[in-house]
Amino acid sequence: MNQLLASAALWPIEIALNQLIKSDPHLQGIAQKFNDQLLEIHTTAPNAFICVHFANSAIRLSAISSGDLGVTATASVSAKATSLLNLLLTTADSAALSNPEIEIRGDAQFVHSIFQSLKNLDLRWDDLLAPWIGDHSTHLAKSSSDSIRQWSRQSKTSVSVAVSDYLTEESRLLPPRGRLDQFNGAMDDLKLRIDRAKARIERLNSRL
Amino acid sequence: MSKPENSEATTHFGYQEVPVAEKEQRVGDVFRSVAARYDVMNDIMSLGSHRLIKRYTIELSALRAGHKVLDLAGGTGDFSLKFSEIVGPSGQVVLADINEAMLSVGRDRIIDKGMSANIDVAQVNAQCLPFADNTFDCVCIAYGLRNVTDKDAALKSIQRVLKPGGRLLVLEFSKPTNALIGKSYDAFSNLWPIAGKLITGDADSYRYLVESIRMHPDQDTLKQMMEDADLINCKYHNVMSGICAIHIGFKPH
Repeated sequence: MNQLLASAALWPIEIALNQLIKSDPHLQGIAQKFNDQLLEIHTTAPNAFICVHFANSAIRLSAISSGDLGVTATASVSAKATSLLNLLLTTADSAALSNPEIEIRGDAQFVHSIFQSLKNLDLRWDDLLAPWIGDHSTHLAKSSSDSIRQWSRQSKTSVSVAVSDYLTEESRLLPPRGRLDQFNGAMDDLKLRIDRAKARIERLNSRL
Repeated sequence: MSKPENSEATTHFGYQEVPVAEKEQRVGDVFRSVAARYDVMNDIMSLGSHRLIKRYTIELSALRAGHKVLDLAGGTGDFSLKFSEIVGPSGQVVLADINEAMLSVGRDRIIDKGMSANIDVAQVNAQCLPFADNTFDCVCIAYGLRNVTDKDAALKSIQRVLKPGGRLLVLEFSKPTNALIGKSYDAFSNLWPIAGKLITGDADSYRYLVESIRMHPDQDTLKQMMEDADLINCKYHNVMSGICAIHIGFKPH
């Protein structure tokens, strides 16, 4: 049942990706380059498989492992989901694949090629959205998205500056480090003298 | 199949016992009657879930470009159309069914979609397939095995036409593993003849479909039948708590 549900979840993603490939000759070229190859992605946390099969300038996604399918994957990548996500979002070059948390089996060159192709993609989400919701709506969505992005960037800078200013102001009220050390030393000295006085009083009491 | 003394062999047609020779004709009549609205009724009876189950079955086929696949009891061509995209121009799909009415609907769909380049259409009897030994990388029979009179003969015939290492996929209704789901499903399937009457004007054919599901072997029995037909590594995947099951078996190398 889990595999059926996973298959259901992958279905719209597969359709969307294939629509994307069909609309972009560059992506078709990439899919064609990897024709009839199978990449198995295994996330260890959570435990799940996604097999990506390149076929006839399209891709097929499956939630069934290559072992269960009785086929051999061209390559297999195994890592935690967070590591794989970081890999997709990183701007680093293919050296990012050398992360010890990511295990690659099979044709490593194939994995590197896919990674490079993904890094070299230049997708504009508004170009993809326009055919579905129209140019005007896409423009509105893009404007809103740009405004939100700009606002969050400005807010982040503003908060960062405000926190920095606050800390600077508050730190003026604090004594300098030297004085604090001096004070702590005086307190330790006083404690020692009190302990000595206590010891002398006890000794005198015992003589009485 | 049973063979009472002093009478010809009989088999089940739904809940009825009929002579073996008659079953094929009766099943043929059922599917001639439902052919035109078969896909609509599938959507209604399964609440659309049959599409997802078919997709899952196709994933399990592990087909690649250049493969040859037999879509047996393929009827209206759902699977053949998908297989055609996967195996590509270098592969081949054979849409096969014993029923000319269903096959006719399937052939027309294929032509309408312009996908006849790598799909051949053939009217065949699953019990004695007219293909050479070791022809197909995959044979898929979806919701068809329960209508075959001699299932053992069909499985042996399929085994013969598979290539060594090739796989058989049997998608069929089966026995629910959960009692509550089983009862709910029984109650729901009792509505199919009513829906059949409303949409196709034929309640009897859908009554047969419901009864034939209940007479079909359960998961383990069918797995054993596949092993008896010399298929290896046989296993099954229960779908929706066993309402359907997908059996897989391989021809030995």
